[in-house]
Amino acid sequence: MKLKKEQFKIYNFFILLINFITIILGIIYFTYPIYTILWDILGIIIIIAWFGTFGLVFINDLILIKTDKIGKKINHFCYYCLAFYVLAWIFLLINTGLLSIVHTADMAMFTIFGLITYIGFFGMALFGMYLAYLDIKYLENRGVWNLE
Amino acid sequence: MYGILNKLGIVKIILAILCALAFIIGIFSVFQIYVGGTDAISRVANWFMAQIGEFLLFIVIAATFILLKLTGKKNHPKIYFAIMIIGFLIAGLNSVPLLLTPVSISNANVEFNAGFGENWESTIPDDVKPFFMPSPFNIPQQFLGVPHKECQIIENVLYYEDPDEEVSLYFDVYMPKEPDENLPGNRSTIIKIHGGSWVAGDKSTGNMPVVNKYLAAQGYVVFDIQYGLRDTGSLGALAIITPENVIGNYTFIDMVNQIGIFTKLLENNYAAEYNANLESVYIMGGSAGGHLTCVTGFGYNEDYFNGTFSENINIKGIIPLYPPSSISWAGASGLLPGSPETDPELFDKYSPTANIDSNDPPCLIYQGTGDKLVDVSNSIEIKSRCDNVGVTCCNLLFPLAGHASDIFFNTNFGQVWLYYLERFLFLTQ
Repeated sequence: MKLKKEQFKIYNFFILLINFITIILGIIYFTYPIYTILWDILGIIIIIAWFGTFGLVFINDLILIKTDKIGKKINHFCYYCLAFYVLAWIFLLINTGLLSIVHTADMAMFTIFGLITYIGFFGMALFGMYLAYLDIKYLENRGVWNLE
Repeated sequence: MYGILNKLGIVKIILAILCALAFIIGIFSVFQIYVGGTDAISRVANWFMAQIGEFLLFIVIAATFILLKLTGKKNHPKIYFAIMIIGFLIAGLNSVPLLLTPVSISNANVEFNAGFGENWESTIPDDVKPFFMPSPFNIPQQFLGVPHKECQIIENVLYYEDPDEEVSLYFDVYMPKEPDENLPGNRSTIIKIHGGSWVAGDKSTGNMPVVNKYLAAQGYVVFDIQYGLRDTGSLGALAIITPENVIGNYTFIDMVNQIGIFTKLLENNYAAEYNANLESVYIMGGSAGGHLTCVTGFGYNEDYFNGTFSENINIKGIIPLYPPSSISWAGASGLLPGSPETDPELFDKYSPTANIDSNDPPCLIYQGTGDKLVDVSNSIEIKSRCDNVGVTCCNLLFPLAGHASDIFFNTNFGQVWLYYLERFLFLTQ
């Protein structure tokens, strides 16, 4: 059973939206690091966004015609996206480790921690959004997709 | 040759190797979480693997998708499905410690209900609750961390010198940034004793400074102290954080004496200097520090230790983390003179459990069930002794957590621990 174009379009819009919400809530999280109910909402949203983006990469791999020029372009971007995800979690892991062992309130150190966290966290959301954008942009192109 | 190894081919090979590496790390982590070993590498891995499982979950999933793309479903269907199954299996097994967080919370609630009554939560005033973590666990904190709490820190205050051993001992003190009577800590004193198998380790970086800051911001005065270590010639993985000024030929007796000297100086000097409340004092430490915490805390009012500690300090709680309860081996390693056969009383008094009696204050224990260095039976034994004599003891068991699994304070273990620690401190003041 082939995936319908309309279903794929809706899924892409969903990924676009959820990664956008992740960025907005992420900015609030980092700007006001005092607990609100938004933290719990952000927690659920980021898990959905991460797994959702994985799902989008997987679906792309199944339905992209990789011999097509645009198909090839999107396929390569999927590789970049996954490679960045690996890097991003390594960044977040480093941040977790270092934040736990340093004891000084050295601003430079906290800036570096913050920077790698921002790059990792917001980078993942931006990669997810751009992949969904590429899919939507080229969805009507013939010969790119193996859709119903 | 160039045809096979063109530019894209080389990139794909590198990607495949990196993904395979992620799989190997994932498998190593699974092995350490569920099986483990006693070699040096396994011991260090035991500290971290269960804590970083959730990061490995996503890294391995991403690596799995890269490998699936590289393989291609049509080209190699069997390999494709094999990679999918293996990848998701490794990722899934790494995620189990995180998925078991509700079990940790449930265990802790059962312990607190037994220790402080079913309605313990409602006894915390509404004006205090905003200072505490609102929930035992939240996901953003797990992955993104939280900023350190602001407090006042005074570092490297000398409190003991031993010219014969060329040893000098220091402490750091963490205090609220500004005096505030509304803070829940009420300037209660916490004496923190670091771990490191009695031969390594240090205050500060080696003793969860971020937790010290967190508690100080709540109004506690935290003294993070050094004590003299035993020189065995090998410091293991903790060599990097162990300063030379603490290494001598010390035994448990010396270590407890040094802690005792600190309590006397606390009474005579530091309490006034740092505005620390001696009517409400806690002893807290992990691993070897957990053992010394128990000997100090439970032995504080024992006749055997008469003159060792300050007599004007009121111990309100004992907080050992992954404490070893049996020390029968200590003679062989030189940490106690003689043996349990030649000097049974000495070995008895320096064991964490022997001094427990009905006059002791409440106890809160952190213990990972996956701890390969200090087995879970150790904390169960302490809990059992406390229960037998009617001392309130909450033994917080964390499924699959390894030794020192609270090091990463923002992960699931650290979050749940901190949530119950701050409540224990408030309820027992």
